[in-house]
Amino acid sequence: VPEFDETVRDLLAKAAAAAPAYDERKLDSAAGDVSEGARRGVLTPRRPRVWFGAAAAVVVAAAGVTWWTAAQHDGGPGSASCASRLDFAGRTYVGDGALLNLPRAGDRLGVGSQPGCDDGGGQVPAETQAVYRIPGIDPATAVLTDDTVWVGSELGRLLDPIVAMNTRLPCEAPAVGTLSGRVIGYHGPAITSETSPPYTLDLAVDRGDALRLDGYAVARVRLLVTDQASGAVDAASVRQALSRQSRVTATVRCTQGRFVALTVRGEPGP
Amino acid sequence: VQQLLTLARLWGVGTNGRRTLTGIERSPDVAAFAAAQGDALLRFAYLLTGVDDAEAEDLVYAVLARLVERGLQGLADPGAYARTSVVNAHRSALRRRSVQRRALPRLQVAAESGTSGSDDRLTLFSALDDLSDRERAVIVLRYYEDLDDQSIADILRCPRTTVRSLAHRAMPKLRARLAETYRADGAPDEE
Repeated sequence: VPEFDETVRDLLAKAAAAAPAYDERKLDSAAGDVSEGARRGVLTPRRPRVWFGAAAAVVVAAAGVTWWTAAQHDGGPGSASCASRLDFAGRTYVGDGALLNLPRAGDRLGVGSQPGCDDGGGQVPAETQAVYRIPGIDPATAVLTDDTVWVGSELGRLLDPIVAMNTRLPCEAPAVGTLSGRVIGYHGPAITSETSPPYTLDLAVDRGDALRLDGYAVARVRLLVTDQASGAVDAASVRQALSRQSRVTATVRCTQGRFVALTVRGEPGP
Repeated sequence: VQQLLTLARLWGVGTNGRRTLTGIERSPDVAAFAAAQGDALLRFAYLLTGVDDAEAEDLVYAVLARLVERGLQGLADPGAYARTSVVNAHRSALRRRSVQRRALPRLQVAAESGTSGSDDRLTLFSALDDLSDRERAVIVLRYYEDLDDQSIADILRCPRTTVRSLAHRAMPKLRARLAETYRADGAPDEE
């Protein structure tokens, strides 16, 4: 464990070295903007901070522990007020942006609002968003806006459909199946011009018969690209796919529910 | 007259004829603080946000600009105050985006930079992306800023026990993700 701590320290220190340097002119410009906003009355007075303890609940839910109980101990008076909160139809919901599987939107229910807040660094204005039903789930339990699921803050426990949104979908192709989606992550050896499989890709899959998307619009899938794959994306293509947020299509076989690539090919970027 | 007023504003001259103080001139103590702490704050924000220089700069300069307005009076530890503000401003930004949306630009920047160093960063930031924003802040404050739990609790404005539980939840996730890349044989893990 101490060795791992040192690895983390080392990686953080190396990464931090790439941070931009302080530039007084940029602060001068930013301070001028703030001053001008205050002079014109654009900036509204700050409000007292309010902590929505439930905001941490969904984070704990992602870890699969007793989320509601744990949330009661997370944070406290004086914590940041800019929690993920949605007010809709007289109810308060908390947001969860960490789901693996995003459900399809159902009927449009109306318009909800995220209240303004003071984040300690300035006033964040309120905003409104269209609210949609999640098919099969009572809107009092959870609703959907754009790409965020909002869970009713009064819930005493996390319901199964919400838990399922945070569970990886298994590979279910009987023989060979297909997947198609955007590349959102890469895990493997450092990318150089010589890099070749094996590595893994994280995909935001929205098409394919190798898994049952059912009521989901998008599912995060981890694809194993072994050295047995033909036409596998090479390091340059991986970098390009990440850079362009472009799509790949893969044919896969299932090994113990995991997705193993037989072929991977890139699609033109957006 | 309007043109003269416009020119006067451009030259930094108020309607009373006196030159108005612009930007950081209004708060030399904050300017000195920023000169001394600006790089450290940017590194802190950079680790919180990912590999996006612009996002880290937006956070830090906005926080420092607010300090220019506010001044340093009454702040026992301006560095801790600034870090609290950076963490909170970052949470506000995240609030508007889903994990997918915020992960993609980071990966894009890392991929475009294309050096072996960036691959380490890509791996690290990808692993950090699996953490909640508060878990990530705890990891950065503990392992980069080398702060003790009480100092981290002061910055995050939460009980010390919360810091410990956040770290306790974060480390296994981080270990699992980093182990995928830093295994001796370099082979990817099969989850």
